[in-house]
Parts: sequence; C-alpha cells; structure tokens
Amino acid sequence: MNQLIAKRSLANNELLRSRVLTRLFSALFLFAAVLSQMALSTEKEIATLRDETAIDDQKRPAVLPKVDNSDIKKTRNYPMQPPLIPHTVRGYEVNLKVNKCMSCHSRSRTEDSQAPMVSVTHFMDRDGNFLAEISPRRYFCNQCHVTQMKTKELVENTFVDMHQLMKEKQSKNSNR
Amino acid sequence: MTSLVCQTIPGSTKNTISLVEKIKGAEVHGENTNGKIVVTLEGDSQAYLSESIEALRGIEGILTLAPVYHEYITENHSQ
Amino acid sequence: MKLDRREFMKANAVAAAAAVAGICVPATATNLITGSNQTRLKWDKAPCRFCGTGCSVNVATMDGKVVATHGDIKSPVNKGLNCIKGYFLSKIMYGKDRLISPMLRMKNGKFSKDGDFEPISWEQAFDIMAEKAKQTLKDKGPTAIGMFGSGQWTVMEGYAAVKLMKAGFRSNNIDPNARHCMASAVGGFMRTFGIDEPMGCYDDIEATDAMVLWGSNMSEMHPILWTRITDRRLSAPHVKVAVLSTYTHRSFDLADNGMIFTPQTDLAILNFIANYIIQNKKVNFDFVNKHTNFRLGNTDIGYGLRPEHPLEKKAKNADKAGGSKKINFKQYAKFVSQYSAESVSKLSGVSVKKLNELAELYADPNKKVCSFWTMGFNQHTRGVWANNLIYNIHLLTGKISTPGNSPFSLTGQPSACGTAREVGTFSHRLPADMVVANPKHRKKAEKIWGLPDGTIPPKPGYHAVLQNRMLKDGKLNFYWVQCNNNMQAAANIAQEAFPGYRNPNNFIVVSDPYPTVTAQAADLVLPTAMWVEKEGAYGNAERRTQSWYQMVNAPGEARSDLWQLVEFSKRFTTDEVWSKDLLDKKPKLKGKTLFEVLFKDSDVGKFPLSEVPEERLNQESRDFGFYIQKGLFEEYAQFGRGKAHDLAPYDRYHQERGLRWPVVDGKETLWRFKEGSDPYVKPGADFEFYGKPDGRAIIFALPYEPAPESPDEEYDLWLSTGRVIEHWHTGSMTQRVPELYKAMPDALVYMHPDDAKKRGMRRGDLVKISSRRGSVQTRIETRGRNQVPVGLVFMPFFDASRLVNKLTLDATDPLSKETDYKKCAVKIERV
Repeated sequence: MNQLIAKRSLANNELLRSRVLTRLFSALFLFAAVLSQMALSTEKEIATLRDETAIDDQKRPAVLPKVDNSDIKKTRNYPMQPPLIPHTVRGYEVNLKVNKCMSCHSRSRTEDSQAPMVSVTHFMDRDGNFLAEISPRRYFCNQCHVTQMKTKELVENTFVDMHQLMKEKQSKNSNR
Repeated sequence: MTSLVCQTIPGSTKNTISLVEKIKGAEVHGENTNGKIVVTLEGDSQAYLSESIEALRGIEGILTLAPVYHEYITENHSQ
Repeated sequence: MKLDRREFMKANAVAAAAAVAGICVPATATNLITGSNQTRLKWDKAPCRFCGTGCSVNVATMDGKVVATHGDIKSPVNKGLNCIKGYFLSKIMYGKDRLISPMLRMKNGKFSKDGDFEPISWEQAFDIMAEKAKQTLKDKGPTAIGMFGSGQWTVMEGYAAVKLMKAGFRSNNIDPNARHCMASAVGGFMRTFGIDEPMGCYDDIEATDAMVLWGSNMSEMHPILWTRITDRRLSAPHVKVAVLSTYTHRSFDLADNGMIFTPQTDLAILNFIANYIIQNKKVNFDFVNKHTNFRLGNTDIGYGLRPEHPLEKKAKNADKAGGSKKINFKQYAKFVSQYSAESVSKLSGVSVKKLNELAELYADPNKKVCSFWTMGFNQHTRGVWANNLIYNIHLLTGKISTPGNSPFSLTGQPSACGTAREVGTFSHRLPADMVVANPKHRKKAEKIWGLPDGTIPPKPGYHAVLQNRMLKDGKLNFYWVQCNNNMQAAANIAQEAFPGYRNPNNFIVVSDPYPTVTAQAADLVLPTAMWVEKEGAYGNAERRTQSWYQMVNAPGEARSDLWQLVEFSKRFTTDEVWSKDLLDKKPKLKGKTLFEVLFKDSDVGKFPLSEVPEERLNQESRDFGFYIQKGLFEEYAQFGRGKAHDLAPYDRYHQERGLRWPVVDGKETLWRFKEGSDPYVKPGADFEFYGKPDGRAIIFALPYEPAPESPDEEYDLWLSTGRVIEHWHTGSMTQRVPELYKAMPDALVYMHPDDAKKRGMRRGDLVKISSRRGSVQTRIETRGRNQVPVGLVFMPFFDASRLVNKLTLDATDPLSKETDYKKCAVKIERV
C-alpha cells in the first residue's frame, strides 16, 4: 500500500492538471490495488513516518546521527527563509550573559571570523526603527536557525522553488 | 543584497530619491503617496552594505529605515 | 529574457519590501520579474498554521502553489518575525505522501475491518459512512455516535461540526483535542471568573516589570511571544524573568531566577506565594474587598481514572469534585499559612531564597507582573486548581486587567480559543460559554438554529479520554476523527485507544492530509485539504480572531473538513435522525435533509455566492452554491454579540490582521473587566468580573495533593512528555519538511548523566522505557537543550515511530477531564 501511495503522489502534478488524467490514474490504482491484494495477505500499514510498522510494534531506533559540520551553505527554498546553520553549535551558550553566535556573526567580528554578518533585518526593532546593534527580539538565534543532522528525510517534499517554476515557464515560452 | 522600506518626509520624496540614487549600488523601485519608498542596495562586501546603510541613514529626507530582506550570494558565473 | 540568480533575488527583495510598504511597484522597475504575468507572485495574508500565538504570515503563490512565506510586518503579534516552523510553512503541504483519494479497508471489494486500505471515490466513502452511522443510530441511538475534533479546525469547521453533532445527530459526544491542552485553563477561568479566556493581551509584555513562567517553555513552544519577552527583558534592564519547571530548558537562558521543582509541588509553591503576600501585609484590600469572594474547594477529588480503579474508589469527593463553600479572608489566610517558605522548600526542592525572591515579585506593589503558563499547569491532575491558585495571587494583589498586570493562560493550538473554546466544541458546551446542561442555553441555541425545543440533548457527552474508553468498551461505535492525530497524542494508547479503534464493533473514520498513525488505525481515511487550501478563521490566545482566503487548490480529491462535514449531512433526512415527537413540533422540517435544515436553509445559507470575491477560489462555497464560511461565521457570531463575546462583521476580518473580542462599536478590547478599557464594565465599578452574578472573582482555598502515580522501587523515574520547537505536535506536517526533520529527526529520552551512569548507560545507547501500561524504545540523550534533574526523564511526542504515549497514564483532572502528560512513573533498561 505504501508503494501505492507513493506512486499516486508521484502522479500528483499530473493529477492536478487534468481530470481526464485523474480518471485514468484512478483506474490504474484500482488495478494496482487488486494486484497488491492478490499478492499479499497480511494487513498493510500506511503511516509513512512509522515505515510500515504496526502500531503495537516498533521499529528498532537508528543510531544517533551526527551534525552536519561541513560549513557549506545550503540554497534557501525562498528568499525569506532563515539560513540553516552549516556547522555544529554544541556547547554554544546564548543566555543573559553571553551570545556565542555573535562572537563570529556580529558586524564587528566578521572580518576576523569571515562568517556571514547577521542580516540587516536583525537591526530593526518591533516598531521598525533601525538600531546600532541587533535587536533584542532577535537575540536567541536558535528560534529561527537550526543545524542539520546527517540523515535522510523520511518523506520526500515536492515543494518547488519559484525560480524553478519561472525557468520552466521561460523555457516553454522560448520554445514557442 | 538588501531591500528596505524608507519613510521619507512627505513633500521631499522626489528630492530624497535623487539623493538615494547617488549612493553606489542603490536603486529606488517605487514610492507611494505617503512618502514611503522601496530601496535596494547591492554591494560586493558586507562592509560596503553597512556603509551604504549608514549613508542612507544620513540622508536628511529619510525619517525611518526598515530593512525587509537581506541575502548574500556567491556569484556563480557558470549559470 | 535571462534571469540570473542575482536579478531574481533583487526582484524578490523589491517585491518583499513593496508588499510591506503597500507600494505598487511599476513593472519596469522590477526587471520584468514581479511585473510580468508569467512571473508574478501573488501575496496574501494568513495566520500561521501552528501554535496559539497567532502570528500572521504573508504567503506567496505562483501557478497554484505556495512558493514562499514570511512573517507579516503589519501584524501586531509578530511584526515581521516567524519561528523556524513558521518560516517553513511553505513546505508543509508538499509532503510526497499527501492523501489524494478516500481509502477504505477492504477485502474482496467490500469493507472489512481487517482488510487493507484501497482507494475509493467520495461517493463510496459517504455511502459506507452513512450506512454505518444509520445502523449505529438504529441499534444504539445517538450516544453511540461520536466525533473527535480539534483546536486546529477553523472556527467555521468547529461550528459546523457542533451543529451537525449536537443538533443533527443529537449527540453531545463531540470533543476537541483541546481537551488535552486547554480544558484546565477553561475550568480555571469558569471557576474563578465565570467567563472564559484571558483578560489581558500580548501588549502586557511591553508594559510589565516582571514575567513568571509556570510550567511553560515559551522559548520553544511560543517562540514569537518569547521574542517579545526577550525584547522586553533585554531592553529594560529592571525587568526580571522567573522560570519554573521540573527540568531545565531553553527558557532558562533568559531567567534571572530559574527554579526546578519536584513534579506536582507547584500547587504548594502557589499557596506559599499567597501566604507570603498575606504575611508581609501586601494584600491589596481595597481591591480584594470590592471585587472578590473567598471559597474553600472540595478536596480528595480523585484522578479521573476508570471508576473501578482503586484510587477512584478511595477518593472521598470524586463525584463532587467541583463543590465549594463560602469562607472569609481570615479563614483563607489560615488555610494558606501552612505553606511556609521552609516547608514548601522541603517539599519542592526549591531553595527558600529563590522562593522568597519569586514571591516578592508578586508582593511588591510597585512591580507589574505577568504570569504565563501552558501545559505544565493544564496537563495536571489538579490543573483547574493550579489555574485557580495563580489567579488567587493576582487577585490578592489586584495585579490584573491593567497593562502589564496579567495572569496569562497561553494556548497550544492556533484556534484552541477561537474554535474549541469560543465555538464550544467540547462535549459539555455550546457557543459563547454556554453549556448543554443549562435549559436556557439549549433553548437559545435551538432558537438561533431554528430547531424545535428539545433538539439538543441535555446530558454532556463523552470527553476525549472517555471516548477512547467507550470505544474500547463498545459503547461508542461510529467515530469520526478530524484534524488531529490522537493515536499518537492520547495517553495510554496501548491499553485504551488502540484496542478501542480496532474493536470489531466500531467504524472509525479519520480525515487527514497525511497517512498518520491515527489514519493507520482507522477503517476509512478521508483525504483532507489544509491551511491555505481552504478559507477559514482562527482565534489566538489573546482573543484575536484572524481570517484568511483559500489561496491554492488541494491536491487530487482532497477536500476540507468543512466540505466533508456538510457534504455528509446531505445523506440524512430529519426523519432518520429525529423522533416523531420532535418533528411534530416543527412539521415543516419533515423529510428535509440535514444539509437543508442545518446549513442551506438556515442563516448559514443567507449569503450568496456573489459575495465571494470573484478572484478567490473557495472550493466549498462554489460547490454548495452559497458563501458558506461567511454564513457559518455570521450565524455563530449571533451567540456572542451583546454577551461580551462580540465579533466584528465577517468581511472586516479579511481587511485586518485580526481583532481582539469583544469588538464593540467596531473597536477591539485589550483589557477586560477594567473600566475604561472594557465597554462591558458598568461606569463607576472600576473593575467588574461580570462573568459572576455579583461581579466578583473568587479566591479559592485549595491544597497541595499528590500525583496519582509517582516513582517507586520498580518504576523509579518520573517521565515528562512535551514538544520541541522544530515540530508541531505529532509531527505529521513538520516531519515532512526535510529541513525541520533534519534539525530534530528523532524523539530521544533526555536523562541526567548520573542516572545514565548508575544504569551503566551512556549517550546514544538503545534503551527500553517501560511503564505499567506499555513500553517504547529510543536512544539516550544526556546533553543538549534540556537538562533534566536526577530522577526525571523527558521525551517529546512528535515522533510517530516511537510512541511515547504508550507509557503515559490516562489520569485526568476530575474537573477539566484533561490528561496529565507530565507525570507518570517509568523504568529504563538497556536493550
């Protein structure tokens, strides 16, 4: 059944495009469903995030993944997305006394650290005034910025970058 | 690259825009009747961007600056 | 035209700024990108899909897809900010395993409880649902039909569900997952003030001198409110922050006074503060004498377990849990005098110095104080008491209903207030704080709905925990779950929920965008549209109602909860669901469908399709032929207008970044119960707690009582469960966003290094955690964001692959029926 769902999701884009296609595909699914039913007799599980495991059972938990410490920037999904942290932050203190992140990312430290300076948006207070230092409302970096573990996602995400959408349209137009 | 919304002193908007456009890498993209303008700043370094922002702040006709968007890119000429 | 990354980025930067400033950018100035039709981004506003803070976000769509989201700079709540979850809203709808057609468990082409899921059409789905519902009604009557809904339903969905269940099917067995979350807060408000929801608002943060967090990790669970608290604390150095919890978490990073207490002893600490205020002669008698009464509450009220449980049999007042009697200030002072700093320090493990420091924040007449609490108070077998006790402190000092003085109950879900509480989707409630047990309230509802007297049954239905028990016992047989994932979120799922759903006598329907754990336990799964795939409204923690338009279409055959509810109502005629006696009172309703009676021909159907803006999608309205969201909202608003729950006309919400009710003469209300800021307070009253007949709030004498289960020799650790910033509740949306998944992929058990060492374990070891109810495997974390004390472990519940709720105890507060997810006893062994 999992495979079935995956197959149908794969077809998502096409499905949206045309009702005719929808019908065609659902006929296919039914056919596939009949096939799968013939082949399998045990109960099939659908919860993707449980990886085909029954509710009263459990899959063996994988070992703890390591933090991606490659220092390689990842492309953002859209311009306003906060950048991900490409290095480990283990032991970084950010509290009333100290902000470890700013010891590299603050404006005055970037020449030494060669780390990207915090975005200028961070200098704006609640009322839209521009401050000399980062706004206290942005003080806790970990509310928007996270590290990434070296692990594979459980479910693929079909989000499309707008740049990609536009490129597709442009190439379509120029082909005309 | 950064974009900002600036509140100019209404009435002096036109004059302010011309001052803004004198800053290297600055462009004005639109205005409304209340004197708000949209500005982008481009520069090759962070230091240059901060300088440009300082320069913007120094313009008399600008009341407030609200940075909206900010991103660094590494230019990729193979594209 | 060539678009390089830089030009594209610049165009985006311009578009973002232009959207903020409300400036129309000429096409020529934007390098064709935002100007031309083929590349235009359409920006719109919507409240965030996640927590109760109620941030507003700007959503960009292109070609029927959401392509970007960012914090709405015009919103007074978040002023342009989002948390990490909020910034990734764009991706929550695009998990590859979105459900796109109904699926039924089948064998040989027919429904079979032990069959495999196969795709079917909506027609077939409603056929089998109607067949099962009608059979259940015939065999067992309305009490065997039930629904489990959500504080994530839109206001309109919750309202339609209540109407369909309570009036249509005449069953009060409808409850929201907010039962797990806000029921104790509701109980506290109703008991102390006689009216639900906070008197203050978020503006209190910028006006206060001290903020105290009680069992709330706002840094992770209400991140944007935390940015406001951080802003206040760091920009005004005299401001102090105190944080109380059973373990150290991120909110302690800002704490001037951080306190770790032994689970359950918060009740004693609260009474100690009241005692401190009295002993140090800091009672504001002017306020107390004019605006409060004192009462002594019943004690020994049990733990909401099954009645045959020994603890329930032993409890003296299990059947009179809500009872109380009038006392005076002297008696109250004597009652709390047993809670000295020394005795409470011994009980709670918090030092006398820290306790005194905390109490002084409240006692000092020159300090304005906000208290914030969430699940630490609410998910508590004495949750209503904890809520009552914090109000005591604010009432004794008169620090309430004025800017900066605010006992503030935070909500977990985006519309726990708007939908679950205000609409009244609880098993005992009706809209606008009314209850089914009150004949006048039923009559009012029946009048607005145009239904015969006696349609709504007077007996409260099964609440969330009871629903699972009744499913297991075979008394609830047709069950529909919408907009939540209770097979992962309910306590004691191994013993109650799972056997309940799989009971062969029951037919379980689950509506969800994704194949969740709950969907896996169902018999019929309905693919559901989410967030901006539909039009809706949410109500946040500060009484702010916000609406949004549908911006994109849902994939495949997915339809909103609203469409599903209303479409299903077409399958029933009044003769099938109502008695002859009832129909004889209104013969013209005979033979009509529930769709006609409850929706189309009622006030819900009053607004024509022409009122839907032409450029808007609105799948439901275009299908049903009238502006259904507006109709539902406006009919619902009739309940609260003139009753201190006034909502503005629906259309206005599309223009505003939300409005805080009561909205009177077009103006929102920031502080309730205070003359000058609340139009419902009588002139000259100064303060008026008008939820109570005499306008006085109640200060309750209530003791510390122990938890139902605490560590012993065999199960030697406390287990607390909870959330993390990266994931929304059970993770069904956020685990499908790769960036969020990779930031926090698995639910680990946080353990003190000494506790690990004692058991010969270390970080990363595979362990089995067991309670008296079940077991679960995970790995140990001894460092990171949470530092637990010796004797306590913490494990979050977002991870579908490791169901921590197999361990938790389904004990509830007997008053609110809310489960305590923060305390049970477990043991940990190496696997």
